[in-house]
Amino acid sequence: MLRIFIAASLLSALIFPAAGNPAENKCLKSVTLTLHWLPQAQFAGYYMALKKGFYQQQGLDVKILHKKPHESIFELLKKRKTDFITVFLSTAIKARSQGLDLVNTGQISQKSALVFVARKDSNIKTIKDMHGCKVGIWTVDFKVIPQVLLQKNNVKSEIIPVVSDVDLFLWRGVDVIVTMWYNEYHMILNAGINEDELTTFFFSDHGLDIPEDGIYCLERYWQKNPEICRRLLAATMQGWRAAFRNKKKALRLIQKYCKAGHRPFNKAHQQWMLSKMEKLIFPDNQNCQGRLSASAFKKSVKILQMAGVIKAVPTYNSFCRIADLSKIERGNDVQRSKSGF
Amino acid sequence: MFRDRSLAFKQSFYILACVIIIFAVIFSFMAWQIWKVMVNGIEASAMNAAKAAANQLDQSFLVAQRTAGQMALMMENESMNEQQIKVMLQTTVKSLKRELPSVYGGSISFVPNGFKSSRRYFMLYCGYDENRQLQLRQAGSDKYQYFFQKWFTLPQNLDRSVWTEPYFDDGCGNTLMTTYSVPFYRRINGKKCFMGVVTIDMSLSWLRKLINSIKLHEDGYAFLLSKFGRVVSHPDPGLVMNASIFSIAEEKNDRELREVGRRMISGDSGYVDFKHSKIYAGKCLMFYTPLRSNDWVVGIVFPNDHLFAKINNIELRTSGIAAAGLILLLGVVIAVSKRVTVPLRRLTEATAEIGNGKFSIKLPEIKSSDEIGTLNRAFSSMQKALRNYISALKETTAAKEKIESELHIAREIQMGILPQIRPPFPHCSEFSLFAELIPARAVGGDLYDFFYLDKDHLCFVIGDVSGKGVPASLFMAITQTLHRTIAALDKSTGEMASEVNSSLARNNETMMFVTYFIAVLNVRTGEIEYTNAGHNPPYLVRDSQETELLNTLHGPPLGISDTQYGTSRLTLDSGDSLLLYTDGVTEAMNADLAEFGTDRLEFIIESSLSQLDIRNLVAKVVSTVKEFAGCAEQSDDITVMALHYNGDQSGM
Repeated sequence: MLRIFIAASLLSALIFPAAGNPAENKCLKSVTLTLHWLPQAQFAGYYMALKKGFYQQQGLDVKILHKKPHESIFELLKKRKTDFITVFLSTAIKARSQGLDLVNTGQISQKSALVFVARKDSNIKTIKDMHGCKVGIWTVDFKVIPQVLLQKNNVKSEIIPVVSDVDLFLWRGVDVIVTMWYNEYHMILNAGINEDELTTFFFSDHGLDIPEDGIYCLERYWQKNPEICRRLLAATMQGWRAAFRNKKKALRLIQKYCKAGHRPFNKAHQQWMLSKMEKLIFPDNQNCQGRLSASAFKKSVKILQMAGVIKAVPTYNSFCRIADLSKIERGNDVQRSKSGF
Repeated sequence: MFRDRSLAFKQSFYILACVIIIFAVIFSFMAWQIWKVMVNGIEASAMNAAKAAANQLDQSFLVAQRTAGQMALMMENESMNEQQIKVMLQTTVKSLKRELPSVYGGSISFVPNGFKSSRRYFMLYCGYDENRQLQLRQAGSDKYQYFFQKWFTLPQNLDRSVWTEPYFDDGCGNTLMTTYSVPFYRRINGKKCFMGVVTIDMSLSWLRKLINSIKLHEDGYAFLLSKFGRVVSHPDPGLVMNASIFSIAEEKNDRELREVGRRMISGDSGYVDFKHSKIYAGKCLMFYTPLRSNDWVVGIVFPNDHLFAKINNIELRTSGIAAAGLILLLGVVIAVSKRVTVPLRRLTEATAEIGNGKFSIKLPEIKSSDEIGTLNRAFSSMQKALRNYISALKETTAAKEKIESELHIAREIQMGILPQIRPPFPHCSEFSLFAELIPARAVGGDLYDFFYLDKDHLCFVIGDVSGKGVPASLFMAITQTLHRTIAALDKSTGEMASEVNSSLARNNETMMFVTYFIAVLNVRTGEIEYTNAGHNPPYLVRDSQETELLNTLHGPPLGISDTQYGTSRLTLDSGDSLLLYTDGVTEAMNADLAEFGTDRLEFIIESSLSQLDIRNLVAKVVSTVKEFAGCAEQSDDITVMALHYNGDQSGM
């Protein structure tokens, strides 16, 4: 990872020789990035990139905003209130298929963090055991994937819509609840239920490994500013690496953002979230950091089609406009060898 | 360790050491007892405080529960129109507010299209705004789909009333709230159907005030956890609604705390003695009890260090008193020890002076009748006795010296009685004679004598008076005088002995006696006439080195009875010798009480006579006896007399 970091730094130094010193760089490009949830460790990489000046080094003056609960993130984009947004891949594909000219300019999370949780004492050992049970699923738009998982297994459950907490599960109002591994799952643990008292069904283990958080902008914007999109991603990935390298510092930064957003900061929870984000962004056996692989895209589209969420299918190339970082890094290597290194 | 220390030091040390140990044991026991009493007291008061707080909270919650329950019952009446519902909600909230100032509002909501099939949303909300004015409005809309809210879904899915987990209500000034939700049902086609929810919202600020007002002994505090362990009230506002007891445990990596949290939310009351908990910097006790209404938990933390501080304070003060007491005790012990040891020391000094000979030194005055007084009196009488003894000793010594000087004179006289010329007859070539007498005391009882009866006849005598000392010496003097008087040429030695005997035996009331050997030598012929009255037989050593013992006895020692003694004769040839001795020689003893004996004497005679003249023979015998006796005290007078016959020199 260190090697990549050095290569990336070297690369930025080569391409933007003046970017190293923000004071000298008077033509920083202003960019607005709206994150799709309230301040938390899910966004530590963005905070870190800003704090450490990685965006500035890339010639960007990034303004980070958080979507307010009642706002629609796509509305913000449509109304040009933001240049970039972060959103789940499935949500983005759905929006694209519904006609929003959305392009993916970076895929941060590489794995699905969705997990069905049941209590061991409810005797649900397989997905099939959920048949006839009450399953709590979010009312918001990523409810589709859990439903696909149930459909795939021919399980007919009573779907209970839940808002973003796990109270219904804690009260035993539902037998199973869908959670994010980095968020709601930990809320269950934080209500005094031990991990060994729970049965978990990670979507990634059940053929539904749809990557989540990605960076998006409108196609028009990308066409005009492909370089900005690429630089934003490069700096963001640099920020994530820095955050995972120094988790204590990242946590302090998250705490600052929480405070600014008038949101309580629970250190244990944010720590948990940060450590899980690392597993999602830099999975052990994958090497497509920051970018959406064609296979993951195709799989996701297929699942969404199956679920009947989308009808029109965008092509990978039209949807995914991520500058291939690794290609650039390789190009850099070539350059170096040519110049006699 | 203390061998060289004074008695006072030893005594003080041991007494103080014992007292300190006793104090320490008493202190520890006391501290333990106080600790127990305090913990018991705190247990009782903390548990009471927790239960009282829980009861108080329950009271309010139960009033709200009752009211909401009544409204839900009303709502099961299908004939209620919107206006009636509005009036009911408004009056209920108003009247409840009077009873419970913390009531924030209430609502009645129907399932989608439940109130009227044409009307998707029905959520009537009645609450107080920031100006404390009661507002009534319809809240449901596409933007606020209330039927997904947990206060709606929980009673819907659980089929029972619930108190929701506390939450911040954004609408009304970010107030911490909890909602009591009661489901209501109606019969549709004879089937009981869930129709909606009646809620009462309560502000929790009054509750937090109540919990925060519980103070136990300065450092103790109370807190409130929700049904799932979330911190609802705590002195640290940073934890409220932000942390749960489990997240605190995770953050502090405290497994024990997590387990405690699980017990707390399980519905039991209890108490925990945290030894290493990280919820408080140090040891602490925690008591908890649940609320009956909503399963929330009141906890009371009581830091132990406060208890310890109290006990330490008590101990510190007690230690101060103890230290003062110890100092006092030390003073008393030293004073008492000094009262004992100072007279002792003075006595010791005085005794040392007495030891140096100052018998008249004044002993210290001790009037007490304790052991020291007794000792002093004992010393005093000892001193007196010593003084008397010494003066008596002086007198005795003077008397003894006088006696000794008299004895010395007597000895001179006695020795004067014995013939002193040595060699006695230097002009006589026919024989040579030598005698030695070593008295055991100043004066002795042995005697020897030699004198000429005429120019050819030499009379020589040896004797040993029974007993020793002055009486023996007097008896010896008498004997010596007697035979000098009686001896005459015309008398045989037997007659001479008989005469001496009859003189001695007469008036011999002390029954003293003397062994006696008398002989007359004709120096011309060598003929000897002799009588032995109970004396050791003399040795006759012929010139040919043959030794004979003249063991003829003519009677008992002189002085016993009137006896006539016979006479024996023999002839000395030239070169023959006679050795006479008293039993002081053969009965001389060494330190091992072995006697010198005749064997040793004979050995000397046989081995030495040929080489030595008789003077040296006598000296040899005396020195050998002395050598044999060594350091042993001489018990008897030693007398040795030797005569060597050279033959008639005139005829040659």
